[in-house]
Amino acid sequence: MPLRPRAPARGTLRLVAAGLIAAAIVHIIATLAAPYVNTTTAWARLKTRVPANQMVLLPPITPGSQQLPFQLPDFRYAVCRYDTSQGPLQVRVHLANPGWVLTVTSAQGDSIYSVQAQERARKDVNLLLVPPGERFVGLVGETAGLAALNLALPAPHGLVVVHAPNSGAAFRAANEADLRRSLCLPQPL
Amino acid sequence: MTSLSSYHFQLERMRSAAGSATGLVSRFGLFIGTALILGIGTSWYMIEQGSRISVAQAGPWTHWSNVGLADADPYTRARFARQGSLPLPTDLARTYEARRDEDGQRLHSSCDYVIEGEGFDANWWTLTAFDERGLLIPNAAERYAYNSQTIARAADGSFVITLSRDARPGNWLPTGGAGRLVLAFAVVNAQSQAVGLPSVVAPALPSIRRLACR
Repeated sequence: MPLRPRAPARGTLRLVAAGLIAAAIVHIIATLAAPYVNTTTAWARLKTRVPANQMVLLPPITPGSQQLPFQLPDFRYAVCRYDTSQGPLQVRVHLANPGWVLTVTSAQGDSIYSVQAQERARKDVNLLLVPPGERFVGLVGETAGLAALNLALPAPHGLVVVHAPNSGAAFRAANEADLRRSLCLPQPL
Repeated sequence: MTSLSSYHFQLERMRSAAGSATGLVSRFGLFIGTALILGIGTSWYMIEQGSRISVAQAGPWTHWSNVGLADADPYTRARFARQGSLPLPTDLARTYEARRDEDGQRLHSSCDYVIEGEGFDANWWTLTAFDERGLLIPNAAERYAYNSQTIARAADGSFVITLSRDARPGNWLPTGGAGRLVLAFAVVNAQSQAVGLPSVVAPALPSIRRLACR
């Protein structure tokens, strides 16, 4: 008489199903929590190297000066590590050449704002980074005489980065001068 | 006699109860362990390797299609938070990454490769060689990348880059003794355009062919 394979017990099937559901929950929690428990974010890496609320021109990227992984050596970067816990911050950037990109991200790297310089387009960007607590108190760049675009931040910390592609040796000095014109200015409340 | 039999009966019951408790604990432990390993393992895999949700594949090149976007998927967010880089937003620029050649073999500094491409006339681009940790590879020539303005092209606009440990004529990108390699190819649209159009047109990406290994 041929042997029939034994059907798995109902208890075992329930355990497998519960295990899969629990694994799915763990998967979701682990994925969503990853940016918040990570200590290797760009913001965390730059925390000790870039002072808060100052636009800093990072040195040309070489093996000796590289501060972050996968930094492209054909770019120059100006970085402002913003901390709006004491009040809003004005950001003034001159995107000098087509292809220059300005990004505003949270400390976890989430994108808040980005803009790219285009030909025949305005190249000066003026932002007012408004901390989470000040969002509804009527503080606007226009009323403060800044003519700035208000950017409501989800959290008080993050990075403003100007990515400037290398246009060739002849433009290096001019590009550096334009990057040095970028400013992060704390505003009084 | 009766008391001895009762004692044995009690002992048997205790053994049976202990056996069931051990079984329950081991099943529970197995359940928790499996859920943790499976949950964290799949999360890690999708953050490190990507999936169709977050990654577009073109030959050996991968592109995280939501990087730098306000509504990026959780895997992309987790990956770039962990990596700690300063990625370009994908709606303004495209960054492609290659860890394998056209034949699917892992890029390694013990091998020579030829990278051939054409087009990209409308865009500024840069191609950089990194080691596995995303660090530039030190070399005496201080050559770490080529871009659309520093590359030597053929008359038809095409270009060839040789990736090798030893010096090569033409566009040579040294790989030293870096071990496993990662190539990053970033394309930035530097032309004016109408608002609302996709900012980067993606032509055929450069091919990566292995020449020889030592």
